[in-house]
Order: sequence, then structure tokens, then C-alpha cells
Amino acid sequence: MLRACQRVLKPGAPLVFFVVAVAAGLSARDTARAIEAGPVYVDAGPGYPSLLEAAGFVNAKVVDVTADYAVTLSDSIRARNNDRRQLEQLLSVDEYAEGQSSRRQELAAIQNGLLRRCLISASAPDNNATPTAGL
Amino acid sequence: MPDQSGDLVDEFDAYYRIIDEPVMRRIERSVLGSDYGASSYTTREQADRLAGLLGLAPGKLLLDFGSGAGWPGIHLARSSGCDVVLTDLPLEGLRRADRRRKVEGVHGGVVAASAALLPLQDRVFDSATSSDVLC
Repeated sequence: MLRACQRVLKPGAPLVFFVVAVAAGLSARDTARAIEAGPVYVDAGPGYPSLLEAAGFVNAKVVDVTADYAVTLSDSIRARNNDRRQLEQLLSVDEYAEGQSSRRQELAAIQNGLLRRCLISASAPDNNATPTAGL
Repeated sequence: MPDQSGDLVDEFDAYYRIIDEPVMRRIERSVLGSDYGASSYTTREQADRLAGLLGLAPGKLLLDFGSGAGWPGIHLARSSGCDVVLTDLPLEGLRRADRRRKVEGVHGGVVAASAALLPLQDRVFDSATSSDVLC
């Protein structure tokens, strides 16, 4: 995916994205817990700086925005509680309950240091050529 | 879009079919400050932070991969004056994104494609972004 993105960018063009990832340095058991609790698109890979480098990007920077992630998720749970009746009618009682349970589990994983969200930036190389190795 | 499996695409499509419901709009506005049918945790404040890092301006072309229903890609294009191409797999989200793009008067288009393949020309984009997509 990163390699495809690099190919379509002009030389020196920025790539900036948010990603939810499993925290670094966790045990195998905690990694499994993080994946279970995280969204379906949680990343459990080797980390974006190395992935970006392998895809040919340069100047990779990572900013942790996990605190904001926790606030947003907490706000989401609260807002859905406030509209519980309408959401149960729109979805179903069971689907509403399952969704809220998943969100609480995800929030707990953030608070326990298992999940993080990052703002990642990098640039296509000035002589942007399609990399021959990597992703 | 985090995964190319049919189940996940169906799951996201089901979500995009209800995003225009008033209760869903209300929740999104209160939590994220947007009303596009967002499927990420990106708040309006974070989207505006993206705009600065991406160097968006009139005449520039932005790629938003895994765009869902168009948040934050369309917002970024509208607020900066740049053009945007949105790519994703769930068609329901892309249809909504394209309608919203036209309503907002934003130039560009949508492409139904996996971000791993991106059937787009080499070196045409001035910047690229995504929110909570598994790269």
C-alpha cells in the first residue's frame, strides 16, 4: 500500500496519515489482547518508520495522538448512550449493545497502554522512483 | 479501508447506508465535528492539522486513500481549494463521497480500488493522506 502510494506521488510530495496501532514492546499475550480490542484496521506490524523507509519514503516522523484518541472514543461512547433509544431502533438492541461493548473494550485497551494512535508524516524522495524491494 | 475481504466491505457498506440518519449525523457532529459519515477517529481539529502538513493549495491534487464517505478528504479540498481523488473499496461510501464532493463544488473524482493497487498514473499527486487505514 505504501509502495503504491509512493509511486503516484510527485518527487518530494508529503504523505500524512493517522493510524491505530498496537503499542510497541508488548508481550505476545498483550499483543493478542490489543488486536482483539482494537478496531478491525489496527496495525500490529513492525512500525511505520521502517515500513516507510522500505517503501522509499524519507523524513518519516511519528507524533503520538493517543490521548486525543481516548477522548474521541470516550465522547463516542457517551454520545451513543445519550441516543441509545434511537440507535436501538435504527440498529437493534443487540447490535447497539455489542457496539458499545466493543468501544468500551477498545477504550480500556488504550488506557492500559495496549493501543495507540499516531500521526505519521513522510515525503516521497526527490528522485521519486518505484522501489524494487520492501512492501 | 483496512481489509479487502468481502465481509469487511459489506460491513462498511452497511454502515454507510445509515450515515444519513439524523441520529448518526448528530453523533458524528458532536464527537468529530463533521457530518460526512466518518469511519475514522479524525476530528475536525485534526483534519485542519492535516491540511497544514500536506501543503494544500489551489491547483494542487490530493489523494485520500481509504476515503470512505469522504471525511476528511473532501473537507480538506473544500477548505484549501485543492482538487481531490478519493479511493476505497466499499461502493456505498464512495457513492456518498462523490455526491458530497459535487455538492461541495470540489474538483476531482472517486476510484473504486484497493490502496495496495491504486490504478492511477505515476507521480501525479502533490500529497496523500488517509485516516485509520491499515497501511
